[in-house]
Amino acid sequence: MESVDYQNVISDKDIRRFPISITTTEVNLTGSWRFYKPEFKEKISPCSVGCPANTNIPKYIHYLLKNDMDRAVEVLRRENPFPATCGRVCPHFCQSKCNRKDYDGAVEIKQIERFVGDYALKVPPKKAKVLSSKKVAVVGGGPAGLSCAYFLALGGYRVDLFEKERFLGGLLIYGIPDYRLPKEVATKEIENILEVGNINVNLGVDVNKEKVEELKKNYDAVFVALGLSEDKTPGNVAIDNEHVFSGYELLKEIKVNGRVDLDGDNISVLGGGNVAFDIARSIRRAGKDVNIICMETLETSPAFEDEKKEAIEEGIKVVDSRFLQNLKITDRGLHLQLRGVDKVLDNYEPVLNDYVEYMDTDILIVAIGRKREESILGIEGVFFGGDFYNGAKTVIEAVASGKKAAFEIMAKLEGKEFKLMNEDDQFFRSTDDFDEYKVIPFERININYFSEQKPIKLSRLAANERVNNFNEIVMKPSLEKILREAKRCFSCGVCNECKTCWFFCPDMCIDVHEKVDFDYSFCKGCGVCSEECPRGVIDMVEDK
Amino acid sequence: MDFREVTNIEYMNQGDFACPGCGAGLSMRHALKVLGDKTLIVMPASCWSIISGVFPTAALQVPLMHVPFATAAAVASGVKNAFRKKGQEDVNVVCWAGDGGTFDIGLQALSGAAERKEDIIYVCYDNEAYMNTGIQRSSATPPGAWTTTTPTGNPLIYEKKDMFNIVVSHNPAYVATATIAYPDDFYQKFEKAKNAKGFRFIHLLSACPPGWRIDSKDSVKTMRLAVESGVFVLMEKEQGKPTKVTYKPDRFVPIKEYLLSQGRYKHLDKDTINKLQIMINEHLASLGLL
Repeated sequence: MESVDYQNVISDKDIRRFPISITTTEVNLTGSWRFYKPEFKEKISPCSVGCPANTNIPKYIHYLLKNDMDRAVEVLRRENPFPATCGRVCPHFCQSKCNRKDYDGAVEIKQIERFVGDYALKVPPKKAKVLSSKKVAVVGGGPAGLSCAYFLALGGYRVDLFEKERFLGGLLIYGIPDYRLPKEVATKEIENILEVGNINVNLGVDVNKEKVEELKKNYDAVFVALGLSEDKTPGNVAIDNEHVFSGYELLKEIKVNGRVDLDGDNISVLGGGNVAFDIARSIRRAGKDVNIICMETLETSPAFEDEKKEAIEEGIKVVDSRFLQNLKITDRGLHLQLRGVDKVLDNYEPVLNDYVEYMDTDILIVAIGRKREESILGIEGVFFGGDFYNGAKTVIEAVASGKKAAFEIMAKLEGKEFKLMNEDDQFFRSTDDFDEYKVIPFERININYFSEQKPIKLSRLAANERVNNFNEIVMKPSLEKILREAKRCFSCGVCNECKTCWFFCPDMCIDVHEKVDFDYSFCKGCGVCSEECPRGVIDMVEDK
Repeated sequence: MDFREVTNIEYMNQGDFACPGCGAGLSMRHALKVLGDKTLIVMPASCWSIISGVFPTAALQVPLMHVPFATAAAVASGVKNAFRKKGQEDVNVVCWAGDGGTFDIGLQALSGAAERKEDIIYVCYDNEAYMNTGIQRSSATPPGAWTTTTPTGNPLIYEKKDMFNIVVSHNPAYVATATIAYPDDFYQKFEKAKNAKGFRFIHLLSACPPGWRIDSKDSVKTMRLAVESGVFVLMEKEQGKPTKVTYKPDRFVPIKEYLLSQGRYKHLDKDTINKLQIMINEHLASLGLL
C-alpha cells in the first residue's frame, strides 16, 4: 500500500487511499468454534402434570396473550372438550402444582380457562371426517362418555352414544347446581362436541348387563361410563320421599324444574361430600334452615374447600363428627339420634365415641355417596371409565378417563400398542406437542425475569345476595385482570416467544418465530441463551 | 422489558471475533440498536479492535476508526468538530474503549475532552483487565482478582479506580454506569446519552468469560450478580442534578456468591472475602444504599 502523508489528505479520493475494511465478517463461520450447541426442546409444565387431562396450559395462555383466541381454544380442546365447564367446576389440581405457588401464589388458571372456555362456546369445532369403517359404542352420556365419543369422532371413528336420560350431560346437566355451572354453559359445550360429527346419539336407552353384552357383539369396541347409579343409604334409613329424600334425585329435580318444594322449614342433609353441600346450598336458596351432618370433621370432609366456605357464609350449619345412630319419625317430624365420631377409617367406617346428641328436623336428605352397577364391570373386553370405574371423582378426571379410553380403543382397533407418555405421572396428551418428557422444576425458572406479583383477587357475590337465586358466585374477572393474571404464568418449559434468548445472543444467531431457530453456521455455542431462557426451553447438547 | 418490542435491525455482522459469551460484543450490539446508523465509532486498542474483524472485513455496519491507544477521546473530539463544520451535527461520535484505554492509557485524553465539554459519547466497556493481550491487570481490576500479572490476587489496597466520580468531577452532560444484564436500564441510559448534548460517559460492566474464569454461558448471569451483590452499582448523573441510583436490589446478595462464582477469585480465603465485603458495604453506605 502506498503511504499517505496525513497533511496531504484534502479530498474524499485521498481518504480512499487509507486502509478501509469494506467487506463483512460473515466470511468467518464462527460456528466451527463450537463444542456445545443449543437445541430447542419444549418440555412439560408441572401444571399440566397436575391436570388429569394433561392440558398444555402454558401454550393456551400464550395464545391468549398473543390475542390468537382461536388457537388458544384449539390447544385447550385438544385435551379437554369441556373448558367452560371445567373453568367453573374443576378444583384445578394444576394450580396446586404451579411453580409460582411458593413464590408469590399460583396462577389463577381456573379463571383463565373459564375465560377461554367462554370464548370457545361460540367457536364450534371443525367437522371431523370418517376415516375408519369401524364403529364404537359409548354407553353413558356424561363427561366421560362424551369425552370418549369426542376423541373417537375426531380420530375418524363413528360412534353410537347411549344415554338413559332425556338429555346428554350426566351430572353436568342433572347434578351440579346452576350457581356452580349454569345449564346453558354445559348444554352449549355438549352441542359443540356433537358438532364434530360422527356421533349418533341415542337418548332414553337404559343399558343393563345384557345390553352391554349385545353391544359387544355388534360393535368393534364398547366404552362404558354409566356413572354411579344407586344411592347408598345408611342401614337404618330408608328413602320414602316423604321425610327422607335422596340428595341426587332432589338436585336433578332442581336442575330440571328450577325449584323443589319440600314440606318443612328445617332440613338436615346427611353427608360431607360435594353433593351434600350442593343440595344443602340449593335448598338454602329456597329460604329454608339447613344443617349438614357429616362423619368427618369439617376440615377433612371430602367436599371442595370453596364449597364448604361458601356454604357456611350462606348460613348453613355444619354438624361435623357426628354419626346418625337412629332416626324416629314422629308427628312433628324426624327425631335424630347422633353419636360422636372420633375418626373415620379409610373404608368410611366411623369410630364412635360415647357422646350422644339429639336433633329434631323436618326432613332428612341423604347424600352419602352412590354405588355403581357391579355386574357390568365383570364383562371382559369392554373399556370402562368415568365415575363408574374410578368412583366419585371430578369432572376433569372423568374427561381424562374418557380421553385415555378413546385413544386406547383407537390403538387397539388399529392394531397398535397404547402407550402413556409417562407411566409415573400417568401422562397422556392427544398430541405430541413437546420435545422431551421432563417436568420443569422451580429451580429451572430464571426468576430474575419475574418480579413478585400477587394473584388477582376474585369478586364473589355476597352471601346475602346469592341465597335468593342460582346466579354464578364467582363473577367474571375483567379482560384486563385476566390478561394481567395470564402474564404471571412462567410458561414452564413452553416457549412463549419472549425473545430473551434472541436479546442476549451475542452472535445474532437466534430467530424467534413460533419456535426458536439457531443459525449454527455462526453460533459459537456460548450457552447464554440456554442459561437466560426464563423457562428452561433451550438445552445445550454436545456438538460432535 | 418486553424484548419483543426491541428493534430487529442489527448494526453488527455475524462472524465477529468475540469469544463465546463475550459481554462486550453483546453490549455493542444493543448500544448500536439505540444509537442507530448515524453513528461513528472511534476505537482505541482494545478487545474490540480484534472483535471488529481483520482487514478487509468489518463487524460493524457503521463507520469505525481504529486509533492509537491514548487518543480515543482526542480523535473523537476532532471528528465531531469536523462533522459540525460539515453541517452533520446529528452524527453520534462514540468512543468505544476498554478499561485499559479509559482507566489507564486513555485517561488524559478523556479528561481533556470532558473538560472541553466535547459533544461526544464515551463508552468504556470494562472487563476489568487487559484481556485481549492476556489478562494483565489494569487500574480497573478489582482488589483480590487474579490476573496473569497479579497471580496471587490484586492487592486489596489497589482499590478499583472510581471512574464514575472522576468523570463526574468534570461536570459533563451525562454520566452513567450500566450493564446489559439490566436491559431496561441499559436502553434508557443509552437513550438519555443519545439525546443529551455535550460530553457523555457510560461505564459498562462487561463480562469476559476467559479473563474472569467463568463458563461462557454464565456471562450475563455474572454481570447480574455483580449488580445484585452491590459490587457494581447502577447509577447516573445528569448535569445539574444529584447522582441517582437507578436500580437497587430488594436485598443485596452476599459478595461471596459473586466472587466464588468466578475462577479469578477462587483463591480468596474467608478473611479476604470478609474484608472485601466490608469495602463494598462502605461503598454502598456512602451511596446511601445500606
